[in-house]
Amino acid sequence: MSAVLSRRGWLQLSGAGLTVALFGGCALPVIPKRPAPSLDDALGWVRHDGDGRYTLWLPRVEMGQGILTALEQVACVELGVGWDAVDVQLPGTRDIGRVKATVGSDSIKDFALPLAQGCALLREAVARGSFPAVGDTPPLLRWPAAHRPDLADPPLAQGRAIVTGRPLYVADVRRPGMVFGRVLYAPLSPEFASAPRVFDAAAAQAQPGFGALVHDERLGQGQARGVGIVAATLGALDRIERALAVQWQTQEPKAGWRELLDIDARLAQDPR
Amino acid sequence: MELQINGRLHAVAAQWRDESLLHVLREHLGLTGTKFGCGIGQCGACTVMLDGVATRACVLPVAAAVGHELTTIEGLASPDGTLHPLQQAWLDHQVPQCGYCQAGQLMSAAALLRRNPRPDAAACEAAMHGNLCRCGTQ
Repeated sequence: MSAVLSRRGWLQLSGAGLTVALFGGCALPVIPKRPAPSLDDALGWVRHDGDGRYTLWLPRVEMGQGILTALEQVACVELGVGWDAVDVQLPGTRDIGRVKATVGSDSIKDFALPLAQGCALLREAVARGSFPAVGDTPPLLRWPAAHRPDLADPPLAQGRAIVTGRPLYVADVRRPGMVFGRVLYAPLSPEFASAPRVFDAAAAQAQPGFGALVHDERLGQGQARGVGIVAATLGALDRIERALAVQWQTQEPKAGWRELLDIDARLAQDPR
Repeated sequence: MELQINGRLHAVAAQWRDESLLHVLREHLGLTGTKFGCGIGQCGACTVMLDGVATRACVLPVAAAVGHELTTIEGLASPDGTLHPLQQAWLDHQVPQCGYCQAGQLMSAAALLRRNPRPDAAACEAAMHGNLCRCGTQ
């Protein structure tokens, strides 16, 4: 099959791929399920630093949904401290135990209560001059009944960094000697087998900024096998991709797209 | 090749001189406040000011910026750190959600106020409608 698809051909193949994904199982990896957090987990999120100050390792990823602010509010209420007394850290994967991935809208549902209980235990332990222990019963919570007007309108988390252009996103990561890479795949759903058949390595290598061509079995998505390119600049990646001019070997779907998209016929075959 | 950015001169290394202004700002000079959104000048995330005019950095060859005064989001505040009134207003009204498009939004707004200090609603809409926000901030 030519690597140059008409728009109709692309829509046909995409529709066929979607149908296979719906009825044939998806070849892409599934996010691993992890259990909802417990009080024991929460005891590892908050630390008393002395002098009335605390560190909270946020067990969620802040993506603009406001969870950094919301969970800090919960911590402040239960610890009985002001907003500036809690230093919120975005932990690395080695800083706290593995928790449920930040997906959907379940952060408050799953994390607020154990965090509140953990903070309440820590509050009581600090008052006694001791440490909270796994298995301790948390005291009565102050949240959500407590009214804290000083916490009602907290500053926007990461707000100043956002409006001043400070690096906050994965795309803003810069490392010494950093280069740029891209994996090329056939313009076809990864449900169907494809692999590079012909490409002009010499033309690619002649491009200014060329770094490397990478052939590795790990450069795959589903049934698709790709080829990697590395360059000194982002613009060089585009030039190298054009010069490489990859042609792809692909596996045509056995059924026509009309058969693949006939939902009634497929349900008749397999009512599940 | 040199660029005047936020009041300072920056040298552009030879291998970056055929790149877009956006790539030079972010990848070569480390000014990552200006964001890549679409790469075709449609979403506004890459907006900077070129001689005070809102300009899409992703479709501007870096050579076209030579000899002009560039302002990026990093240069919107005063040198002493005092926020631009727009930046302060953004915080006061808690505008950003994920924040990725906000640098472009701020630069478009700043460019508008430079040429029209008292824009009406229609002028604001016209100046800002090219800045897209997937979080839904309007």
